[in-house]
Amino acid sequence: MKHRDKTVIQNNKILVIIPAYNEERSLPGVIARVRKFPGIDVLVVNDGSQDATSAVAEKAGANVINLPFNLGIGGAVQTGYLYAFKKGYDVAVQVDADGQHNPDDLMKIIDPVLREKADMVLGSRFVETTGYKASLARKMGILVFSWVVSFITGQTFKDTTSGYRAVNRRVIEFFAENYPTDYPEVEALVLLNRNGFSIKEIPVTMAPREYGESSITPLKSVYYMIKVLLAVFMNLLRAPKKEA
Amino acid sequence: MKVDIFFFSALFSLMFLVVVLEFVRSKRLKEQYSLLWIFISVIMIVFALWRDLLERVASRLGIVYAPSLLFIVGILFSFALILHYSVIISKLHTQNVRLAQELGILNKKIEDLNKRVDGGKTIEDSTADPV
Repeated sequence: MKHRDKTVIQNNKILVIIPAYNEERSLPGVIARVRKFPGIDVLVVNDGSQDATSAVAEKAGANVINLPFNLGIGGAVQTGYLYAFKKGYDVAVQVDADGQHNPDDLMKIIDPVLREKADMVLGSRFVETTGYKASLARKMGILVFSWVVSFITGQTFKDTTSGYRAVNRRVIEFFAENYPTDYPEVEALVLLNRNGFSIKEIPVTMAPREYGESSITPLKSVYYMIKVLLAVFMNLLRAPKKEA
Repeated sequence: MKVDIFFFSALFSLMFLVVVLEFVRSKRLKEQYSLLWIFISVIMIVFALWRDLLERVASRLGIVYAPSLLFIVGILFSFALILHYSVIISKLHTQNVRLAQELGILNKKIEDLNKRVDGGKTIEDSTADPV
């Protein structure tokens, strides 16, 4: 396993994209744990933070892109894909800045992409028991999205809101042009499926947030549900893009 | 001419049209965004001055009080305009996001290049005013 990892990584340019908004406390730890893997570049997209996110990321050895103002998670992540596309990366991995995603699973989600088993690999909290605990409302929301996306795509997805995902070069190119703006995770899955990309969901372990609070408040979560469902159904009414 | 609601409607619409045209002339309003305004102004003026037409259209539509047709026309046009602006705002939003992304990437590129040239001692560092 170890040996194959090394050679495969050497032949591919891999970029870890970490969108960050006011994450100065958890960011250094996340970057350090990702950088343990040799040959993987780290890009932090600082989404108009007011704290020292940019300086802290730079100090921890990451490449940093500073956006001139806050674009929201979708705009920030897409910046990463655009950068990956321009720089010719073969694989891009999205990792949350808050420490919820365990970098030790990195190889696990990159591997199927490298071996061309799927265009995107989704790191899921629920495929098997992974010790992740969520509030009831959140579980309900995740369940609804899971049903809707599974129904539309004809493939079972358990954790559609997970932001821990790896994609290949074709998806990088696609995302550089087409990426939803706010609350993009669920919609991105439908978008990929509609455009003929394959997605594989694999179990990962996830920790609760180390610092700070989730950006989702009760009122926002209602908006979240409605916006995402509308966006998903709108995707069904659109013709697939000619590429892909 | 009687000074009544039709008179005021016509007068207001005419003033409105003049203001819109002045904005276009002074380049405060782009031609493509002025067309709907000019269109609605002219329609309102025609309806307000040509009472016979207004009454005939109103009775055809079953509207007893003819001037309320003016209100309906005005309100419907306002909705159309607002929707038109929502579409424009969405387009501007998309363009704005892309500009911010490209700007961020370009800034990173410049910093990377600066670091490569003269080990980080940049043109910006050596000039008197910091950028």
